[in-house]
Amino acid sequence: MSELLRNLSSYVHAQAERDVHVVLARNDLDEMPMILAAAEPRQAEADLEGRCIDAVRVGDAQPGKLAYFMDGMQRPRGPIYFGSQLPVMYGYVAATIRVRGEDKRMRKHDFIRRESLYFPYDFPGAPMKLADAGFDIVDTGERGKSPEEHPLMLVERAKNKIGVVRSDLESRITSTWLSDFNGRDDWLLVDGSLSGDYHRYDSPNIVGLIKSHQTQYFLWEDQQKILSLKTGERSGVFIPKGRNRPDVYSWYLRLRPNDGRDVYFGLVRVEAAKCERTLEMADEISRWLLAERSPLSMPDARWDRLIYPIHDCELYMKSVAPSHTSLDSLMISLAN
Amino acid sequence: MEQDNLIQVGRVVATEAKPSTAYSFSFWAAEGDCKVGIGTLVVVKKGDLEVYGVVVEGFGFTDLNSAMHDYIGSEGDPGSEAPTLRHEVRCYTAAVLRVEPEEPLQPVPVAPVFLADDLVVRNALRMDGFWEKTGIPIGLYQNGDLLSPVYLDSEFLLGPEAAHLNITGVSGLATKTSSIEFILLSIFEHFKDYDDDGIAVVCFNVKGPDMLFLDFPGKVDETSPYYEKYKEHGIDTIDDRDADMYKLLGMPCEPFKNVKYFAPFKSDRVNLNTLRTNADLVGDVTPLSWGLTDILEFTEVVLNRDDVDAKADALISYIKDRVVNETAEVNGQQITVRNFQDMNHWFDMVLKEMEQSNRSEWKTHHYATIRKVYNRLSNLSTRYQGLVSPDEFRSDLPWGDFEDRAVYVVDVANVDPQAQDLVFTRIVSQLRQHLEKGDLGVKHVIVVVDELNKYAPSDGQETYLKQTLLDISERGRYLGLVLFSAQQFRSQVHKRIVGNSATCIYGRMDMDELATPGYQVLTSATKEKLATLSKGQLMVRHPHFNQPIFVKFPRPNILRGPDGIKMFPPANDLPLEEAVWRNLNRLDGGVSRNDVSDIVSSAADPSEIVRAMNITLQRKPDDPVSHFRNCVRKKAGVQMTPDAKPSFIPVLDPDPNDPFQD
Repeated sequence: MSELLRNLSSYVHAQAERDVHVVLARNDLDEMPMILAAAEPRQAEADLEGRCIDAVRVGDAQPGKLAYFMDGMQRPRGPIYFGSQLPVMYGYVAATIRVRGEDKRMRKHDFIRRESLYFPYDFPGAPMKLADAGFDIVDTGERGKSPEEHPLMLVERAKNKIGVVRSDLESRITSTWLSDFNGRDDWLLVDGSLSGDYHRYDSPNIVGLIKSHQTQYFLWEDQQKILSLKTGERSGVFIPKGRNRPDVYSWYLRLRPNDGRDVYFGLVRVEAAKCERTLEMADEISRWLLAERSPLSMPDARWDRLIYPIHDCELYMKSVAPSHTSLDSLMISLAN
Repeated sequence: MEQDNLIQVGRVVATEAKPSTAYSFSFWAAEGDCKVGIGTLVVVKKGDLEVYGVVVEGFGFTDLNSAMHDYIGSEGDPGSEAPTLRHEVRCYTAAVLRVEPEEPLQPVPVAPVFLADDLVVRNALRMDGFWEKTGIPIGLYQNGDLLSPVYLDSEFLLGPEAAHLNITGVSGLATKTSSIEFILLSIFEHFKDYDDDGIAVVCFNVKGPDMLFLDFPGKVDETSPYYEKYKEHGIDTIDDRDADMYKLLGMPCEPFKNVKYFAPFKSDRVNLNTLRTNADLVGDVTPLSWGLTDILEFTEVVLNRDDVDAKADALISYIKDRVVNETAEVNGQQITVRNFQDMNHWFDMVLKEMEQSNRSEWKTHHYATIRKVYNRLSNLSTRYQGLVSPDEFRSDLPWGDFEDRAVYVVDVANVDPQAQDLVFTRIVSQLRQHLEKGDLGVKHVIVVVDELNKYAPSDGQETYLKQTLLDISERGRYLGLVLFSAQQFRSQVHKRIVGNSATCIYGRMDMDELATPGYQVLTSATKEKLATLSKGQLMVRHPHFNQPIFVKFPRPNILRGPDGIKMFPPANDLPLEEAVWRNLNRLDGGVSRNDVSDIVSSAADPSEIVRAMNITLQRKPDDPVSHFRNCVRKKAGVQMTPDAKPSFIPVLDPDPNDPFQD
């Protein structure tokens, strides 16, 4: 149940005059921004630091020290129109870290969530009184730039902002873990690029696992080598360029054979902190990841790259998130 | 999580595919050892609402859609171990037993689910309204360490609200006999006799030695005279767990205190037709021997239907009304018919009169009819040899003197089916008549009949026994006549008998039987549990319980039949003279073998000895030898039983030597 929407409904119904319209459009892809983004491939650069990209056999799968797993989710809803044509989006975002116990079962380690309303503060007709009423508002406007006066672009901007807030939440929860577990033996695997303040630590026990490949870091010749990786082979370690985060070391790893399938089938990119230890441990970390191939994350369509503990994080977050049905009913109650 | 000391084990879950209703709900259970299984009692609490339920189905599943996914993930190697265990959820479906408050009746809400404790068990089964007043413990509901007594309401077990009990289950594993014995012990201990009504049990032992040692315990201590015997045979069937269960049920761990055994004679009319013939025990088995007047009422039972046409029926009615125990005049002679011997003589006289007068009819009855009825009736004492006495000796259940909390065991295990038919029909008929009149001695009688498949099958021809059992089932509760029946296959028993049993018990069941339509109301899991119940576990249905409940009961502290036979092996049949000496010696230890031998050799025929012995045993005179001697009709002249009235009273052409003359 969404506390924010319930309070908003009470607030709206307490108003003498109310003119609220809601749109119940629901696009589950909004909850999976990475796949959405994959529709737009782009070329970037990489720094090999003198190493070659050639395939390296990492050895047999070997259960390792990956014990904590982090993932985030977002669930946008709307838009809602409060007496004007300015779209206001509702966004639920959450991040969790799940821990794998000695009994091999997954349990909650940490979980944070946030519900907010998204719209540009400076836009005419912006319902700023909602902020006065104590609702959590996120400004979707860019400082110094006037917002686009296109409703669909405003909605898109709000959705992007929800993704940013989710990323912030992931960073926050990861940073907390890094602070708590610095110097310990356990490792944290995060879904996607490394997040949090990993760059502040000498050799943080954190690995990022990227399943989508919308950004290509190498030109055709080297890229051919990456796409030709066999199961249990990794590429050389490189530094991805063109990103807004501190540098990391990265390499590609083929988790499953792609015979008769797409070139990206079973191919993941791994990120780890940019430190000497990562270069030494690239094979070992790869072996840990190979061990995570079982159990399968079926029936998820990304099962060839989605390791089960991350699938578990997704399941957990979906189970505690406000359901689509409850969100719909609360949205409807705003307009009635 | 605990609430009111209840342990939470799960949470109600309702989905569109499997919603909660007012009569069933699903819940998922906590990981690990949460003590939830088929038959577990639970309670859902939300505010003031309490929903009591019993688990009837269970499901366990993971997030796997296909076994193929697990196969692929394990690379086809069943020994491979993944670093992460899949989530496995156990969901259970519970049937609603009770809702408090009862109105409004709504679907079960999503709320925490708790394991039942003693109080919840009592409320869930609606026992709170009767357990102190009319509760009869039938066993213990068990969940982990929790053992809660489960009570039946005596007003629904013994009448008048409802009555009768039926138990079904496979042979050997369902513990049908043991459970009935335990329930009877429980009734004797807990039945509250507010009106000093009294309750007794009549058991028909229909197979082997099942119910022949109800007065012996399954275990004895060193103070018992039988201690060495028990030890020698390694008999020790009661353990500490049983003893603890008896304590929880508020019952002494003891056998029946007052048991009376009855059995017909074998064809020699000397040895009893029972397995309880060991010299140490035979003295307390009373012969079951009925005379002409006892069975003439049941000619429909003992005679072939084809034989009893309208004409024969009219003659039999005439004999019943005008001949038996009446002084009738035939062929100029007066005769009083009191037994089969008298009756045969009466028929001879009638036929002789007709032959002499050359008439084809006698009092409107045709010669052929009289011949036919003579043939059939005179044949009865031969057909039912051992049960039907040709002479004046009779021995029967103590009609009018039934004792409170007494068990009357009638052993018919070794008699032929026709005789069993007669025994059942007559005893039940007598019970009904005496209960109607209120002069039985007790006001409630439980009739225990095993092998109902055989005696009251759902198909096959109508028998008087089946009719008798139907009659008890349908009308018995108003009289205080209650049927406790057992069988292997409930589906093959007459529907009206099992249908009228308010309380039904199921032990280990056969899967074929469970596949029959009568069990469609049970879930697959409940059937599966029924098919694998261990000894001492039962499923109970009772009017107060909305759903079947599983209980455990302690072994009755009774010597099991096979153990009893090991300890007290049946004696070989005794020769006539030896049997007479032993029997008379039981009345008076000073009877000499020579005296008995002299009397036996002086008798007209062996049947005379048997008759005299049985009459002596029945009357228990101070001087048994003299009484026995006087009863025997001797070869050279027949002497009358001292205090017996003569059967024949000749008035014409009196013979001064006739021993039957007054």
